[in-house]
Amino acid sequence: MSVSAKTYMSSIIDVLIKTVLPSVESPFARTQLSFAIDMLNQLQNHVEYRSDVMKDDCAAAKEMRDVICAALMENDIEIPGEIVSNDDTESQPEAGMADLKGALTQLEAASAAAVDLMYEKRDRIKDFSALEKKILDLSNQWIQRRAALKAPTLNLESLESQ
Amino acid sequence: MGAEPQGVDLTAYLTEKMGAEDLKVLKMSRVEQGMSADTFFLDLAYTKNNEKVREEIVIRREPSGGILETYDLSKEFNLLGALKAAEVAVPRVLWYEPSTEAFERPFYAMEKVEGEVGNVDPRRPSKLMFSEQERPTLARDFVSNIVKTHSFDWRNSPLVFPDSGGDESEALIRQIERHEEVIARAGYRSHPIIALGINWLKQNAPEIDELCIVHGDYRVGNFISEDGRIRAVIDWELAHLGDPHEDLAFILSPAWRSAEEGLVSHLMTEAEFLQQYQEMSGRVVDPYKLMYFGAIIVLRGLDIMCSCAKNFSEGQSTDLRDGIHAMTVESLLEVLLLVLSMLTMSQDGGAV
Repeated sequence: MSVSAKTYMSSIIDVLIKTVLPSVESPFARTQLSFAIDMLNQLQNHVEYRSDVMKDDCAAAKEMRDVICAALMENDIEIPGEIVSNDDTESQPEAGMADLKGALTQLEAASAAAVDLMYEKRDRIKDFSALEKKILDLSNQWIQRRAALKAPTLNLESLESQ
Repeated sequence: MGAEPQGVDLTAYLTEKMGAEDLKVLKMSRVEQGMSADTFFLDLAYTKNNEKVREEIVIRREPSGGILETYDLSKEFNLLGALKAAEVAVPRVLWYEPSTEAFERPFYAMEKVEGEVGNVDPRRPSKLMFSEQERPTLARDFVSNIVKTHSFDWRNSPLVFPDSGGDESEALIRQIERHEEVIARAGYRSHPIIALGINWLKQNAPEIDELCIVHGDYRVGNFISEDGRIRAVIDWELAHLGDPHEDLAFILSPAWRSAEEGLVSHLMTEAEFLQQYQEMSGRVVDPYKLMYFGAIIVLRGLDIMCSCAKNFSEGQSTDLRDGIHAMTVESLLEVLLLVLSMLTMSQDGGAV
């Protein structure tokens, strides 16, 4: 779901070169900015999202899907193959970043499809309300773990006034 | 304020359109703050009926690739004309130009309203903007204009809206589905938390008693004020038919409050706003609907932010504001889940 780290970095480089650099008049600041641009340029091929976070996302999406599937099966509701297919890529120690990204996309889509099916069949699910709350709880736990990774927001007002 | 647009000369067009002689565009500048329609200020000098005139006008032009999905500024033009007649404080619109010849894309012109526009950023709540002397009259105008907007008799007007036919509650479901379509096109519908949010909102949609014109972005920063009065409410591009609680939930959002006092749009407390709104409108505010539409507003935010993320990710936009919007998607999911959890608690008999 996320925009890639490389996309963010290349856009920042582009704006610094085309918009910011032409407006910087101080020779020292221009030199520093040029070095910053070059450093970002060198780094962009080495930056990726953390694999442990991506594995956690995979696990979270999988848990949501599995909880829903268990409830659907308990209530004799047929589950389409695309929801249950699972290659366990994310749990393999040798899984590369591309494998993880692919696995996450697949697991998120399967989990979303399971949520859609859960609501579609809500009248056939005993204690649907408890299942819905459980899924809401799991989602909250997942997003809270992601929120904990967020860097503190910079005081942009103070930055802009410098 | 931005730079003068290059290679554009509206002199001949404006001379003919305004029936003027010796028209000169003394200055033309683009307002850089907008994220959707392009807005330009024009300072004009001309002769009409043998009298020399100096006039400032505003042009709102359809964007080449804005953050909102579809653009038809003629609707905004017609809406402003109708609301002006109903005594809502809006700028007087002058004409709509559907062709692309004069200024590359369709646009409309309106009068320039003098006054101040508060500059707010939802990511950084700011200090109180208005003085103690200004606040009471501004607050009264703030409530009065949204009440007039909600009371506008759109059914007996020539205005056309996508949800004007059919059942009121179906209109809400269609609104959710429109957001869902945009989110799907941006590639985010297959995220399980978004799937949960959309399904939940459809299943738990409240009964809608009335459809009214919803401004959609009613807050400090979207009105022009002078001498303690609101001269014009602006930025109507998100206006649509909906439940009045949608505007109320947006107005009460923490994003538009003053940092320390928590005043709604820097003008009044939440209790004061709700009391004044109910007194002026005769409507009773429903706490469940207020919270439900808080979630709808988050969904609307997701619709816009996911589109920004798509444009940014695919290189259609190199504007770093779209990059920041892409990063906002996760925060909106957090807020959506928080509101859904509170709504679920309230359904179970918990306090709203």
